[in-house]
Formats: sequence, structure tokens, C-alpha cells
Amino acid sequence: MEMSLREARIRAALRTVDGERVRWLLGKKGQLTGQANVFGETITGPRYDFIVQKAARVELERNLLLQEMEDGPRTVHELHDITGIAKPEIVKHVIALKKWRLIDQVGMKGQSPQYMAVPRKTETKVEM
Amino acid sequence: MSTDAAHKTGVHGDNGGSVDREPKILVFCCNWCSYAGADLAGVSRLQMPPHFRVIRVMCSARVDPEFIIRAFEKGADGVLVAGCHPADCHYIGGNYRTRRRMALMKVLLQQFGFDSGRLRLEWVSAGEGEKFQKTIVSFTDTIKDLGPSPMRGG
Repeated sequence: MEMSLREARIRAALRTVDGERVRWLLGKKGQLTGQANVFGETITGPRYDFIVQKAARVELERNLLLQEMEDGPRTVHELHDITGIAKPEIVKHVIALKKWRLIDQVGMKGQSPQYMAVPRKTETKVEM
Repeated sequence: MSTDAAHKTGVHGDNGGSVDREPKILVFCCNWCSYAGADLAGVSRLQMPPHFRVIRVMCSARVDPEFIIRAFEKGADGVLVAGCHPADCHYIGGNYRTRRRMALMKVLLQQFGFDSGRLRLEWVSAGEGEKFQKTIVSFTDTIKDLGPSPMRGG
């Protein structure tokens, strides 16, 4: 694996650790696998492991793509070239990230839309 | 660390290929319990494999996820985090945070192609030198069974 991509994946992993999704799933393990929901359904252990692994993979990929789009406008093709993630998967991630207003379309490159990360709100200092 | 031990673990990198296959294990020990436990194991002259390096941290919760990922990136075959028993943490609840973090890290490591068994969390108190020794022996055996880390061509 190329050094820069490896570094990017590590940074994406650290973002995933800070994120809520996988942490929430891990925190709910007992509830999800031990207790039934209102329909009497429970999640088996292997199914739960599969869900957590899938969530971790998706979060890792999304954070990786988001990092790239923070550096500048990127098309799906460019994101595929940089990260090696399959284009259909990237499209799914882009739709999700756009829905959560983490990225926005900023222009077109040929016939491909370019997306860029929406700047994150920084904490405002309270002057005493 | 004796020079002999350093050569066996291949830290200097100038050893033969077979010697370099010895596992490299990183152990994070909390200052208040596990490090004292490790010290007790040493003072008691309990026999342990020489493939591990101990890093003392003030609390097991000080072990940032980045430390673990970087350790594996730099070629560690296994990482052991040792902390105080639940409810015994010097900082009240540090080890509870560690427990949740390690569960998360095990999931993430699998995404990087590492077996989750390469990361272990153990509770070792200051009086449990024997437990520390047994933990090191069993973890080393586990890592030997798993083989070299994917970063070292395993």
C-alpha cells in the first residue's frame, strides 16, 4: 500500500474512533443481542459482529473520502483513483455525505460533478 | 533490557532472517498497578519470553488509539494493554474507558487486515506478578500462532 494512502487510512481510522456510529453500536451490544425489540426480534452474535464490521468499514471509507474532499474539489473518478474504492461504493458514500451536508457539489469537471467538503464549524472563543 | 534479548527480538535489524521472525510485542502498563505487577514478576524472577517491551503510562486510558495503530504500522506483532482491575483505577474510571476503546480498536484493526487477537486487554494489579507472567506467556504463544504481522509480510 502506498505510504500516503496508508497514512490517510490511519487518519480516517482515528476519525472513526472519534465518531459516534461504531461507538454507539458497541455500547448497545448487550441491548441488541440480549433483549428483543417490540416485535420480539433479537440479533444473533454473528449477525451483530457482521453489522459492526460493516459499520466500521463504511465509516472508514467515508472518512477517507471526506478527508480527500477537504483537500479540494474531487470527482468520483478522482476519488476512485486516489483511494481505490469501487466507484459504485463511492457514489453511495457521496449520496450519504451530501444528505448529511458534509459535502457539497461545487462544480463540474467535464461531465462529472465535483464535490468538496463543507468546512466544519469551529468552536468560537468566549471572551471574558 | 539485555543485549541478548534485544538481539533475539531483532530490534537492531542486523540479525539473520530466522532471528527476525521472533515476535515483537508492545506492552502498555499502567503506572499504578500493572507496571508494579510487571516489576514484581521481574523481582520474583518469573520466567518470561524476551519478546516484549514495556511502556509505562500513567493510566491505561492514556493509551491513545493512535498509539496502537502506529505500533502495528511500525511492525509490532501484538499489543497488550494492561491496566488496573475494574473499580481499582487510580483515576476512578480510566480503565472503563480503556475497555470500551479496546473493543472499538479490535473492530478497527480487522479493517486493516490484522487479527483482533493481536490486541489484548488485561487487568493486572500490583500484587499479580504471576498473572503478568502468565499473560505474557499466553499472549506470546498467541502471537506466535498468528505469525508475523501483515506489515512484516505475514
